[in-house]
Amino acid sequence: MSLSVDEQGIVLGRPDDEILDVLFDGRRIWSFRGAKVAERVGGAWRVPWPLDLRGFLRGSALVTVRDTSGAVLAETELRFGDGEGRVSVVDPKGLPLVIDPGGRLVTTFDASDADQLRPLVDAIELVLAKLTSLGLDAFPAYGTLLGGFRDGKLIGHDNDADVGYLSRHTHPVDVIRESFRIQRLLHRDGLEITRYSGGAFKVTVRDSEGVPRGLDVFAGFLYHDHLVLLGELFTPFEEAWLRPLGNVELEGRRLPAPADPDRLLTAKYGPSWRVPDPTFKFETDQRIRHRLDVWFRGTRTHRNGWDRRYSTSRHRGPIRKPHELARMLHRAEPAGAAVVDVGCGRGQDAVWLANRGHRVFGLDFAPNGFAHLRDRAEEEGWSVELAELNLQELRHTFAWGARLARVEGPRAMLVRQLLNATSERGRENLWRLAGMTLGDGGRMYAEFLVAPDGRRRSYADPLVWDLDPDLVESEAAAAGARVLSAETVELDEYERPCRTEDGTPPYSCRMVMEWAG
Amino acid sequence: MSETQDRSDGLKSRLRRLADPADLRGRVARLEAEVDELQQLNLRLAELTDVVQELLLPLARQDPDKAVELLERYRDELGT
Repeated sequence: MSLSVDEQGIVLGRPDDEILDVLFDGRRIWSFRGAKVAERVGGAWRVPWPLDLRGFLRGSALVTVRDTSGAVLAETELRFGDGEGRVSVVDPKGLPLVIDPGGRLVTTFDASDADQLRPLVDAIELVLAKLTSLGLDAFPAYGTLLGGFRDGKLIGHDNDADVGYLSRHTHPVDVIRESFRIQRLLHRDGLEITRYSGGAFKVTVRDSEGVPRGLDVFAGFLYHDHLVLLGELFTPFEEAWLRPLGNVELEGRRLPAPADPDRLLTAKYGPSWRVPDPTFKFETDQRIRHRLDVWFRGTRTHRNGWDRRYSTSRHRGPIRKPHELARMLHRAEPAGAAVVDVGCGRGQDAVWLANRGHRVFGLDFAPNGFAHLRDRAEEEGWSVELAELNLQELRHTFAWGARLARVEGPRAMLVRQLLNATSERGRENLWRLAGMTLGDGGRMYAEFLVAPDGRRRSYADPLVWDLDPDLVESEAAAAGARVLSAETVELDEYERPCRTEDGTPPYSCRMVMEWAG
Repeated sequence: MSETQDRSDGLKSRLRRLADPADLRGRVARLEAEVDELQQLNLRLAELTDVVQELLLPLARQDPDKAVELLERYRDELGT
């Protein structure tokens, strides 16, 4: 195959389905299949460098392309930009990064030795034991099961681990409730948990180098001669292919495994599952994805976008200046009133209000945003509680609503650039939370983007959008509130959540609503 | 006779409407939307049942301290 590399990427003579590995100074950085990613540019087939990799391309590197037999197809010393030194694709701690099949930079297992991964394997064993003690048939799933049956190890090019279990239940409602219960029990064992959906959650485990590793725990159940296994499978299945469980060796441990692992692995990876493929990306059938979406999902809308936006926020504090809406609230509310800042983002308004005598709760579903100020607040003893609230989960809403309803004294709510950044389910639960918190009497200060000239704007960040003030007013009325004032204002650089695509100034509506009590 | 004729015409027109592909497509789309709406209740129902089961008992026992303690623990265990 004729093939060359340059500063823009790889040039292929004729793209085919063969897996190619790309190495920088002898280390694998990325794998791809030409037929899937090559683009026709000026008479040549080109595979551009992945977007996430481009920020690292400064300096020189010996770039090698080889096939899965190890044969070198191209090898060239390249200099990217005007950078000095060698190209270094590592995280802030210096740990090597690799592009995964989804195009994201991750720390793969092959960068770690067995000692480093021991805490993750311990966690797999702990979770399997807990599930088994609850009478469930639990087993390593997906890539973790594949690695075990292929060579007894976690797959080198993988970066997280998976566990599945077969529920005793066959109705989604019961399967979800069981998953909630399992989460609680694992939390009590000291594990850090993030929920993906009604049937799946992630346990975060730090390996011995402190690298956070995900251990995904997926519910499975039998449904009309099919196995449903979160997050992606809905496949014709017989119970006997799964239980009674057999065994698999993984990193020197003997773990439970499906009775006929070939069935599960073929359903996910196809009949050639024994052949390693670092480019493999499971494409869920649209109808199956839709079914799983309506059954289990809808509680993390836009969460990944906010996590990305705040990915480096823990290490640097926000500008400690309040937004105008926080000043409005402070001017109008009694001294010492309790304030709930819902969708507090980086937390600067919550802290500013706390330092002016209010008891403040700053709540947001993306904790990386406020992590920096939460640490500072603990050190400084500020009267602010910064915590996670996912408005898209009814349980979060009820639990926080009950807590806030018990706070003594006058209460107010600050809701800045949230109504125009959450899903319909999120808005519905915001009104529910407001009713529980302010129902005895209190005001909400809301601000959201609007299009005063009726022309909807396109924002540089798709995490926010314009909202119709009439819609907000009618939703507020349905929640038992009346609008005291509403004004439209042009936003300056500090007040805007992001710029508009065409450079025109964004506008907000600032609305004050009251629950009479 | 005319009554029989009327009934027959009505039946024919109904059958034509039932077999009309455009009409069928519209009905299937509406049905799918309604099924989606129903299936989306699964998660809500599970969440509601979980809250009730976990928190109702101490309230029923009229033990406010225990109820507050359980509520705090419930919230703490929700994760992110």
